[in-house]
Amino acid sequence: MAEQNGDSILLEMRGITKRFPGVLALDRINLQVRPGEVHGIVGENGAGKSTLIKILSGVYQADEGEVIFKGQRVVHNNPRQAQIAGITTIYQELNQIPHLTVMENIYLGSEIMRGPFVDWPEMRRRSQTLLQKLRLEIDPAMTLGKLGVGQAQMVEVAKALHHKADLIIMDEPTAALSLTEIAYLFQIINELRDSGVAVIYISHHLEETFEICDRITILRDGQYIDTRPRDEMTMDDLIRMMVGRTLDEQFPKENVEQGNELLRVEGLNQGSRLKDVSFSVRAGEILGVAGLVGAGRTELLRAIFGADPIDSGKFFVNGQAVTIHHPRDAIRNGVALLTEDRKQQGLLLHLSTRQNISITVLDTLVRARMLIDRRRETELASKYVDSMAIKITSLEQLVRNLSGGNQQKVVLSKWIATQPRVLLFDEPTRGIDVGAKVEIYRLMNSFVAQGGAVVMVSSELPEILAMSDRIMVVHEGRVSGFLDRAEATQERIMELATGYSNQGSANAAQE
Amino acid sequence: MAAESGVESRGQSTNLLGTLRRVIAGLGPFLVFLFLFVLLLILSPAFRSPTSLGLLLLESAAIAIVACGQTFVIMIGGIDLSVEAMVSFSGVTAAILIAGSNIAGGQVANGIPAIYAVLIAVSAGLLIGLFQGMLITLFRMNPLIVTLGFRSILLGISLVWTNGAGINIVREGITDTITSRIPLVGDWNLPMPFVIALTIYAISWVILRHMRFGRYAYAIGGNGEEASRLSGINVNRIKIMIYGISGLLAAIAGVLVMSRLRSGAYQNGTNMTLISVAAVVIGGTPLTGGKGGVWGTMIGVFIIRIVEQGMVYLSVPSNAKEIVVGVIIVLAVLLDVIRQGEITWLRLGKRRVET
Amino acid sequence: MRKIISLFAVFAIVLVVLPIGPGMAQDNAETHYVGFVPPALTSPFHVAMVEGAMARAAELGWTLEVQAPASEGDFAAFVTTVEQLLEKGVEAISINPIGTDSAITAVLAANERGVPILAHNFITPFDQGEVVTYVGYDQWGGAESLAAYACELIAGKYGTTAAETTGQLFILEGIESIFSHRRTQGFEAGLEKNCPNVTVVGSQSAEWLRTRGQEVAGIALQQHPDIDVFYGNSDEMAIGAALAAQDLGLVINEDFFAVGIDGNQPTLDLLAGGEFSATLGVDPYRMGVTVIDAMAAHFAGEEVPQITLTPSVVVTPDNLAAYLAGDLWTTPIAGFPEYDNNLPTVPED
Repeated sequence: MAEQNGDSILLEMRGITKRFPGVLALDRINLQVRPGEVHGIVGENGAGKSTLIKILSGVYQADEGEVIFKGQRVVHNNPRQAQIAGITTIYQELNQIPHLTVMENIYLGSEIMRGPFVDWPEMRRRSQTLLQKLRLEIDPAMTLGKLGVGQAQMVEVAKALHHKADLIIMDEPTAALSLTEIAYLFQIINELRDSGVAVIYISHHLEETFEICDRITILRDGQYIDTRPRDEMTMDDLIRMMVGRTLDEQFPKENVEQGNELLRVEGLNQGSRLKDVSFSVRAGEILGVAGLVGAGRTELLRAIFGADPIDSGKFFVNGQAVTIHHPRDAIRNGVALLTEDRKQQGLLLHLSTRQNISITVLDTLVRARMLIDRRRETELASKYVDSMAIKITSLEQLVRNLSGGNQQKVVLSKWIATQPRVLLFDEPTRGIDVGAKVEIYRLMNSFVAQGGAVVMVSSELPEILAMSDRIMVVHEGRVSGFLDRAEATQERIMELATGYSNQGSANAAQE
Repeated sequence: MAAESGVESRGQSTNLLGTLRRVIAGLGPFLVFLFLFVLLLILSPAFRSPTSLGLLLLESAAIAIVACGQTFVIMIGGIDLSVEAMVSFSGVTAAILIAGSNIAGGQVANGIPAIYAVLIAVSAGLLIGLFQGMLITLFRMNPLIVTLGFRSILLGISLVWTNGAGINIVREGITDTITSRIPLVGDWNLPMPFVIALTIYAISWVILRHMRFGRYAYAIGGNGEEASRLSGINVNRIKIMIYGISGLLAAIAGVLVMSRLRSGAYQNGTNMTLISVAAVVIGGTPLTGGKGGVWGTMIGVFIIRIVEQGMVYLSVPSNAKEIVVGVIIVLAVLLDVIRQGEITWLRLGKRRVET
Repeated sequence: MRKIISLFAVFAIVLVVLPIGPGMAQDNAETHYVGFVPPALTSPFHVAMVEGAMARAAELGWTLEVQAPASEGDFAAFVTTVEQLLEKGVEAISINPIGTDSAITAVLAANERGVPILAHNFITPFDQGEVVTYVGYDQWGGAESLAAYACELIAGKYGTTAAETTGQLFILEGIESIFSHRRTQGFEAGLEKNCPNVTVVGSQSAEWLRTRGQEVAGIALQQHPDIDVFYGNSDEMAIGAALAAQDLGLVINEDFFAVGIDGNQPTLDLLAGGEFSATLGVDPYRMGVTVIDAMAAHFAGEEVPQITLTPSVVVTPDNLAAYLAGDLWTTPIAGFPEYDNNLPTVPED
């Protein structure tokens, strides 16, 4: 069907360049999208995908370059202008109002009016038609919040159809969807393609991208690499173009001799979130924790750290039983938590780099028993800024203004400053560009090489597989098995993570 | 993806306009004060005397102390609406203890020396503040509601104890000392209440800028509460202590007002909550907390006071004053929003206009 | 510590709640169940009036129920309070409105039920509704006589006569209302009549508050260091002014004088201690008594005048004892209504 539109071009972006202070986010990017085409954009985190679609949808304006849409040169100063022009974006975090009904959400900002009043019956009728077109069995008068994430996303598609979009941008649409929901979404995308609507599809799941897209544009570090029809390349080609480096360069795993057991958790229970979790980790070891979203991985780390109350469970540090009721107790026992949500929970965004690094160890930086020794504080901060190669303009720069990788290094600094033995590391490289990822891995390596232990939660299976010495898989709050580095594969992990595995063999894998 | 939004810098722009904006944002309140001060010097001959300047300091002292406590509370993203009631309550308590009687119940005790009465009133302020802090942290109650409730309770107690009348006292001992003046050269002198306020500000500055407690207060504000807790900070303890500080300082201000008026009355703290919050915001501490400081608050107090006094010097009709005070408060909040850089169309030089 | 504070809080709540006990009508034909609604009990003036009314009602063997909104500005709560008392079956009710128009609702509600309604501390008749009598003092007249005394004080200071003397006077107004207008205008008329050469050098609002009175007076003295008299629409503001002047080293009753209206106990104490010059005493306690007497007269079927004017006297250190003893009180008489019209309440011929 796509062929029938021939070589006509719906959207063309030429030489798009976007700078943020200190960073060239996009460097002369080109993109061509045809009507009725599903066009994938792939790239590592930090490659510039988000910035590019934000320019397309009017959130940002390009510093250089031009956008030609339906043959016209356009500049969209805000998302509303883009929407009116026919470009709708479905964001990863949906811009929906959960306490309003489905139809109110579809017609938000473009309510059907009769005189001064909202014409509810008409809105209901039209919503029904739209939803039927997508073969959705949803009552338009239902509160949106009651729908699952997948259906809520479909409502967003319905909204796009209502706005008669020629181009729908989907940013990580499958991040929160189940397999059946993904299959259904693809069906809808295929129908959109057949009706001549173009879709820009952004996902870090390469298999999905390969399955649904007609052509794929590859970005790397803000640069345009290539655009190719799906049929003319292999997955390996794609990865090579995306990453620009080999697997070993990506994950610089070093093998460290393992020592004594540093942390042991026994019979940890927390409501329905954690059930009888037991494990241990040794000096020099990186224990990967894998599992599906909602399996209790983050909850586990938070519970060990004393961030949330637990129902029962014992913690042993260096073989000694310890009680942990508050993060302070964990820190005192040499345990540190680097949270998944770096901005809200890891960093004090409104404070400076210096203040963020010293916050955990201020009590060691006082003179005359009460005053903060500013000189020693600065020394401490500079020490970590140097040793971790944190790129800042000055120690007083607010961490709010640092890049993701540098922010993560600041978080790591403030915890290394407490001289911990065990790092609980939740999604260590989320939102960090490729180069910084490697640096974070190296820092992890050197931490375990000096006799520390790392418990690393990650949703990136390649990361888990490459960096862990041992992998613990959790499923619905329980440990469903342990895998040694040698025996671990994506398939084995997914089996355990989805609960299909034979319990007996899983337990056998435990040391 | 987050990396890209992470580098979307704000306030660190290196261009000239950005620098100018930062300087204005930093010095802004002081420049406003300076402007108003010079304006009043030009417009009103009566303002050009040592006594007039003394009056400005004197009238600013008590509210400045209240606003100092409010700065601590707002720094951690909270708010204390009970301060004006605390000013009244501590004044009434001290006055009843000094006079040995109240209007409502007649003789309650033999009057005790002023110094003890003052200590009791001030301690009560500290304890009630701490108690509010406990309700807010340990029971996760909304500070707005808790402090509004205590505002009513404290005003109610002040009313019940006095039947609405002021309790007259004779100035002696400490109440006399804290209302005295320290003579400088010639006609110049420093009102003691302002010296007390200055001392409190200096101590508060040291606490906020140079002590762990203060650093933690900055950390907790600006939506940093969870991150602070996860950094091992005992957030609850800091918050409870901060409400205690606010109660303590409001009670100290209450004793000053009472000594100056020679009367403990439930009206003594009228309007102080609103003015203190406005002063904090004008002085550069945003309502979300996490930045700013006490000296800005003092400038904020001076701005409000000089406007109020200026209207009397210039004989502005009484009813217009409410309007002016209201405009100042709204402008203060607007200033806050602009400083936060939340208004896109006001982000000078940040946006490229494309043609 | 937490326990102590919570005990303290409970104690406070009990204290607040205690005075509002339920008053029940008795079946005894001799007695009456009547209501009394001040604008709020946040000033000693209203408290004293309530005490007078209570004492009189007790003498007569009546049940008097006093209910008031929590704060003076709460007109809606005021009307609700009146309606609640009517619902509870009071046989008569007296109200002290301060927002005239909103109180009409309360008056009409009483009229509808046929419950006699009186107004106290208020002699400005409503546009609608039937009120048995308005009991109160003449603010204009009172302020005028206080002005006459102020003229005497200034004359005394300069050793001349009131008619001849010059001098400076500063007025501290309350928040704009009929009360502040009558008190200011009556006082100005009194000055004009008695000491026409005294200059009013300024007239500023001090919002009925002592703190504001002190602040405004402090500034006034910067502009006019030779002010002879501070007059406050209320005593509290004048006391604040006196404190401000004393802070600047001036001696009260020698260098300057401070006079005001209300005659509350704290003021009388200061007067006795020589720290105030004069106040307009309107004896709220006996005004309260008069309200109950007017109700009794109405129950007895006697004719009650539309305006029951209670006396006001200038209280000075000299006649303070007599005032406190009630010797200066004169029997209330039929009077004239007061309007916000810049004219004397009692027409002058």
